[in-house]
Amino acid sequence: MFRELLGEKLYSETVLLMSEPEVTEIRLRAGRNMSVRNASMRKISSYVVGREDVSAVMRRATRSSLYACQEELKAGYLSYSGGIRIGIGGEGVTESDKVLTYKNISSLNIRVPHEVKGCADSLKSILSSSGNIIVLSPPYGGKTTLIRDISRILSYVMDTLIIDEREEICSDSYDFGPLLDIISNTPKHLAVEGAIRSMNPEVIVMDELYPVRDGAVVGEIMRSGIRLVASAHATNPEDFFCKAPLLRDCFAYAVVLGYKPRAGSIKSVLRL
Amino acid sequence: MLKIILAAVLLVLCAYIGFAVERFYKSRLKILEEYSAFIRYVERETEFLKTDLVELLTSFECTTELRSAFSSAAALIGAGKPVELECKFLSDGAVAEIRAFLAAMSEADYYGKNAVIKHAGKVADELTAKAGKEKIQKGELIRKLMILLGVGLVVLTL
Repeated sequence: MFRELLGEKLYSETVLLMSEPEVTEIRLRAGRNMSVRNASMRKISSYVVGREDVSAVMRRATRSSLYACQEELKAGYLSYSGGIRIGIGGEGVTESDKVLTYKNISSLNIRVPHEVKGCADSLKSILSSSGNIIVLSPPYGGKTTLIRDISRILSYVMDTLIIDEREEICSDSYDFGPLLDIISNTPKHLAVEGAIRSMNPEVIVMDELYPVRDGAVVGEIMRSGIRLVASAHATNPEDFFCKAPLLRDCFAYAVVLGYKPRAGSIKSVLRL
Repeated sequence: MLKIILAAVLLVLCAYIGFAVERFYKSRLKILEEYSAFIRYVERETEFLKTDLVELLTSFECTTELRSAFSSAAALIGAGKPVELECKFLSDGAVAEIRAFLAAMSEADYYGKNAVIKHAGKVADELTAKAGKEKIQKGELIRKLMILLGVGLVVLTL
């Protein structure tokens, strides 16, 4: 999946450390050793990544069309085919408190998504209820994988709309039901209004809620009576809702994910 | 009899060379006209749809040799390699300009691309105008001269 993106040299270094289907994250830091992760461990390669390696991956990720990726770049990431997301570290160019772009890019965090069919099967009882669900975990906790599988289950029984802001949830290679619509590469607050008015979904699925920024979006969905399944970064519901007290009443269930025995394991399902 | 055949062969040969040269300059002009159209296409597509360069190169409808040149350039750009371009009908300068445009577009951000497109459009217009003049001054002239030469050779032979 990521062979084309990495190029032959970096790809061979990666598969020396672990097999391709296992890989969930590849980190390229100019002047430092390449590191690779799977769901349970991290391995560090002896290969020292050069600035040219980073530039070459950037060129392939943007298909040599930086202008086409400006909005993503401003948000500090790039999307690549197959749902791969590339986080970017480098020198920000800012103006009036806004990031215009990044230059001298020195670090890339390539996150490789996995479809784990059936990982949300244990949640079928709460999925069949009408309550809204929030999936919580720290970064790299398996939120996107879980809500992808939730979307798969829901899309067989109700009109499901995925707002895939960073093109991580959906990809042609994933299996979904017949009742699925997707709005991709659009910020949530821009996508929701049109979606509610014209797409008439029964449930909206979205990734990575940020309480301060996305509170109004959640409020809008609640007002329109559409069911919501969302994910957010937090280790537990208390941490999340202390930053967003107004959202507490919006969700009926919180699914908390943990790293043990492996990333993406369901730690608890709480009735809020 | 042999003289007549020889004269006819010489006439046909000269005319063929003349027409071939003219066709070369006509093709050059057509390619550069399509290149100008490509730049307008790039401007439109990148402004409203932010279409990437590989898709621009592969989706642009063209009838000339530019198609194969763009296809191979798209393959290189998609693989993150430096832009290379070959087109036997164009001068080295024109090929270098097209290559420079594609290379500049591949590195331009959203704020810088308009300047790149504007410059390329100006250069393309200049190249097209020059090719138009060459078609008349070289292509058509050489065709006429070659036909005259053929007729002259026929007269001399007979």
